Amino acid sequence: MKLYENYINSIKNVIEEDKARRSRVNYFDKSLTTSPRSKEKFITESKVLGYKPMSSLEPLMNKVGRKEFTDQKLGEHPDFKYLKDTLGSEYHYITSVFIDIKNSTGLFRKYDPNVIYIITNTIQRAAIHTCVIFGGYIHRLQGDGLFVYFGGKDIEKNDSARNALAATSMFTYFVKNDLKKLFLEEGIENIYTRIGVDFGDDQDVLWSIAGIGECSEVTTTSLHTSLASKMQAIANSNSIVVGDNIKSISGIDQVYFDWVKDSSGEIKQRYIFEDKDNSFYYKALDFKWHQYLKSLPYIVEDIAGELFFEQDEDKTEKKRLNELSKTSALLDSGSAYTSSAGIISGEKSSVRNQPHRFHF
Amino acid sequence: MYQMKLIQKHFNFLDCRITDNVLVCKGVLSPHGCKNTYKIKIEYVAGYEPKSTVLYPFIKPDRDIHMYDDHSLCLHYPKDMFWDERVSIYEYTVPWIAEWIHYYELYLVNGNIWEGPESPVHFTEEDKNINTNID
Repeated sequence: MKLYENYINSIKNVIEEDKARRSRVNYFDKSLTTSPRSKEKFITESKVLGYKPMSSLEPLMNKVGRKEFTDQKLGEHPDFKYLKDTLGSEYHYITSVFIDIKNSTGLFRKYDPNVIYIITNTIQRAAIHTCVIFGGYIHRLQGDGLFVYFGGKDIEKNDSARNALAATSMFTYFVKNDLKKLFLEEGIENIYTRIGVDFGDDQDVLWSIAGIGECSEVTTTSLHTSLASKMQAIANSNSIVVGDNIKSISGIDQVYFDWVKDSSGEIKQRYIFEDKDNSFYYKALDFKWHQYLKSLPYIVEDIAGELFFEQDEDKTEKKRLNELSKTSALLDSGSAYTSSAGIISGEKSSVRNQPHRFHF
Repeated sequence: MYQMKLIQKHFNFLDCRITDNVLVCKGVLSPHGCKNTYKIKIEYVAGYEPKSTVLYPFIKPDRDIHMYDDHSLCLHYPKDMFWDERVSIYEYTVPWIAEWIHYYELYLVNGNIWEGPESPVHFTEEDKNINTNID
């Protein structure tokens, strides 16, 4: 998707620079791999890592209405950070999302740490930015992955779930398609993502401070936060596994949910949590994110099955082409008329277009 | 005069005058779905085929779009219809200009393919229905 063009280009650039540098480096002169120049480059790249999403994501930001971005601090959800001072606790719903980025270890076979850093950090930033655009709050970074909360005091429960699903679907598409294409071109082992999402309602999620002093965070104690992490662990490559609560609270059609199955089509795990004493059985479901993405009003699919973000300009252009095509059909059918303003239409009160052939 | 009255009766976007026996109509139009607005001119001397020119925007003349070097248009194949003073400009020329604009806009978006009806043969600049009273 063109939305992630900047991220792909960042990775492409660092790979190209690395190739160029390697071609210059004497095979036996290992010292050059940590030459002052490469260190300098490393520092320069670090400086450009901003919190604000890269420009190619701007159309998405405009579409979902997110324009302002204030720096977030890990472990301090803005709606609950007051708990850090009061040492209190509060019950409030939340949608928890665990995003894991797998197989980045394979990069060490081919690249130096400074190159790997740019690659993995760019992927992580793509995830962060996508989540932030959809209103997510980055609670914790876990290696290359993320733990994100969606929801808060002024956000509807269903919106928190829907936003989490939209963000994770977009990111999964990026990893599964855009990133895969680039890595295939470069002969790099594929990186993939596994995501777990669950919703805990007001009575099930306790917000409180964990840790001591500066070594602390405002976090949730909830079965559903724990389960989101477990769901991520059972997700297949480039899959999103969600809790049954997500299915019910999001209001998204049930056709987008299925059992989590293995490669042979067998159900992997029917229940992610069982409490036989209380007859509580909680389902984990595979979220059909690709189909869901296609159902979003700003996503369009081309005949090759590739998805595109449709901007307003695209819609206007589409409408224009549609009008041109309608006029052509009218002209072809011999039932076109030209109005007093010079507009071709089917309006019979106007002047009928006579058959002719352009010459010269 | 008769042609001018009919044009004015049917097309309010055209402003027509007669100077030195030449009827000149100018107007701006933008058929449905067109990106640009086109300023066109029709010049007519009784008995000759009218000369229709695109004044604006600047379009590079090309045989593919049926436009002569002077930005005038070749809207019909003479063998299909012989033009004489009885043929109405309002009925033929004006709708054909609207069509030309439509097909030109299509040409711009479809990879430079003229989708309008075309004569089976091309002819040359020399074959043009040149009216010395206009040029």
